[in-house]
Amino acid sequence: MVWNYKVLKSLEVNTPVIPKDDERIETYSEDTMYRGSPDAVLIARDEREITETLKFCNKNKVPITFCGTQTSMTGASVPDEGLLVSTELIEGVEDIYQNENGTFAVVKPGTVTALFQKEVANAGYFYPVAPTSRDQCRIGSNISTNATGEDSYKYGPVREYVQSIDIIMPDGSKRVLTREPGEHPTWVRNKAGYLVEWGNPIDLIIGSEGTLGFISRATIKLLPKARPFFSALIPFRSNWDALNFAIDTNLNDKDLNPRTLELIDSGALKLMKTSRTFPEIDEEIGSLLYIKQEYDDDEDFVRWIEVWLKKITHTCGKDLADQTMVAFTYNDQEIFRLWRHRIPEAANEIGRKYWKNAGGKIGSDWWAPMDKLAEMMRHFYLVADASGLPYMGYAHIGCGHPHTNFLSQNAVEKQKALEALASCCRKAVELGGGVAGEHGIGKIHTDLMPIQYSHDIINKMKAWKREYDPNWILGRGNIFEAPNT
Amino acid sequence: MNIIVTIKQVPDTNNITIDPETGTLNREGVPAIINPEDKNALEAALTLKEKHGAKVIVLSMGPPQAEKALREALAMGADEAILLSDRAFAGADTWATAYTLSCAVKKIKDYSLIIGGRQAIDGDTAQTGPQLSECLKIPQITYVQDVKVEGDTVLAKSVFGNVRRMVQAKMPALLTVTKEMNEPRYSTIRGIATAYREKKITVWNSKDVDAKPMRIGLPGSPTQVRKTFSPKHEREGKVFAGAPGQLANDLLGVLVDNNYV
Repeated sequence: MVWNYKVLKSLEVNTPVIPKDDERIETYSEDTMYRGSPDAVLIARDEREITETLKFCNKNKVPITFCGTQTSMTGASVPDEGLLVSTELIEGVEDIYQNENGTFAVVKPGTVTALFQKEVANAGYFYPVAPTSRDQCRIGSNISTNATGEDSYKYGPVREYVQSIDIIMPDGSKRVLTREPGEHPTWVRNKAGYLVEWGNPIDLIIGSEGTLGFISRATIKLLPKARPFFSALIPFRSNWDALNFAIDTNLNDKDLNPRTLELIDSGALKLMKTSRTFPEIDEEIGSLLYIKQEYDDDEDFVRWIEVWLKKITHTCGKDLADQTMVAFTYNDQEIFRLWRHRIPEAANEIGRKYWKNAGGKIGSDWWAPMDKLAEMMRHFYLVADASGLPYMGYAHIGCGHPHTNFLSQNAVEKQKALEALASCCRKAVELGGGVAGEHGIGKIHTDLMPIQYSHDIINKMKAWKREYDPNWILGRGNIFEAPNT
Repeated sequence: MNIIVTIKQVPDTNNITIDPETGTLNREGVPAIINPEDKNALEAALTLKEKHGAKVIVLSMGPPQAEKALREALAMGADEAILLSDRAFAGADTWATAYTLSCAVKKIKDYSLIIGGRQAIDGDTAQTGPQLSECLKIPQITYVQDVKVEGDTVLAKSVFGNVRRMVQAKMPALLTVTKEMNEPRYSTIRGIATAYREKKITVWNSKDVDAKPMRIGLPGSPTQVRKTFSPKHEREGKVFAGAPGQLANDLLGVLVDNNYV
């Protein structure tokens, strides 16, 4: 696996390569959680350039990592060595078509997710997978991480919508992987390594964090035009009240089928309140649930309002029910979404301040089956309290995978946070869940893989990796530690 | 104390485009919202209600679909809603609109304050509020950012450009407010349920408010919109490509050629 940095100088493509000593490379050296060290950056212009670059890197055993906008939370889009190829210019929707199996959009990998959603909406369709970073993140990266988002409670992850992908292999050869008619991929939240039980190789590539091939084009299944919805922030006195409400809604209340069911616990609420537009709320409110409910028409809207009001009043009492805020216009819904987005944004801002002292945000998104979620959360709060560090839990509680963050100011605190995270991951696996429910493994969570998988399964995954990428050049350091060089 | 809040349902201009050929707004699929500064006006009224006790009446002129905006206002906490809806009102400019609103206000009769947004985002005229006060012959304070009610007077902070003024007026008076005034509250889930199930919207036509036919709608409008169009960008941007040093040279060349440096 030995390679020589100087060889990169002989890469011949039309687009100038940004070398390591160029200031512009700084822009590409970090994602949300991790600082890497690319030796060069290529902002590729087309598929041909990608193919030539892959062939070059494969021949010279140069590590190559692909990135979108680097909103990843695991370092997956930032290399520690080798060439970084940005897909930001390879964007656009090539076609929207219908056949007997449905409606599909053909899209290039660098297309920003929100713009893709807008374009298919203008054509009268709906693509529901919207990560919180949808205004920045890109479809190719979403597929590479099997991304979800707040609406995945109802609509599931990207995997559900990927009908076909074109991939370019390290040797420059091309493959087209397509789903069979009637094939229904799994919605399982597990994002740790490759999907072990894949049947169609398309499912091996989806979520493989850029380690098996470059996705040069995707055909995405579209849904009929989106129904209108309202968003609500339901207040609770404690984290436990919110948790119990969410678990009850998921397990027992089959009449309710919200689009989104997310937790904002007391730690997360403190950060949400730092949003400039967040209103003053009663001090007794210790946590929130963020829900979205779809409806058909005005009558249906009022019916759903009354259904939720009844449940909230029954569970929380009239006082708190009366403080449930609702957004039913686009602008207000966007404000709610931005409040929610403020939580990771603020946590990242704080975490980055501690980088210089070897601290930072330690985030995770372990997941547990819904019927074990209460036990899992009990463990998390016990471990978090014992750590003595600031912490928070928020996001996809309805799917059993909240994001939990610890904020560590220095190396000692960071070690405590990592131990707390490992403890939670062990508990999640013990309960039948996993170590990564959304963000994947990337470079910062490779140590969690053995918590979930046996040596044999990890070796099986490595064998698939070697089959697709014999020289181990793609996304080196993602999922598995880089092999000895 | 009764406070009348005038609101207008407008297309959400964040989501709107103009047809370049016809010059008209592409309204299809564009959500309708309460004009943002009218929401600030409603928030101001609701805050005064909480402080002094008052009945807040929202008043709007528009097609039947404007009921939705009034429902939202009721959900936020308004007590009553009145919709002025009549085909005869169609095509009204700000003057005819102000006259029509004034007829409704005269019918309501008992009020201390009228509060509205400074201007609507689909017209940007800022005329309807002041014209309404003229029709009613009551004092007006515009560009309001803060308000206090003391006895039978209202004291308001009016900010226009760099000029800040504290203005006092005897009630009844009319205020137009700007977005700096407050952050409008969100509807509560119970507020919505009540707004739709328990509160009623009163609909008045031109006869109900005793409006003179020649002073409403198109006949009552001395101004007419002759044409709408998107502004043309006469100067085009230029993108330079190349190495940083070359880019700097290229840019300098343009600045020198145009005598900027």
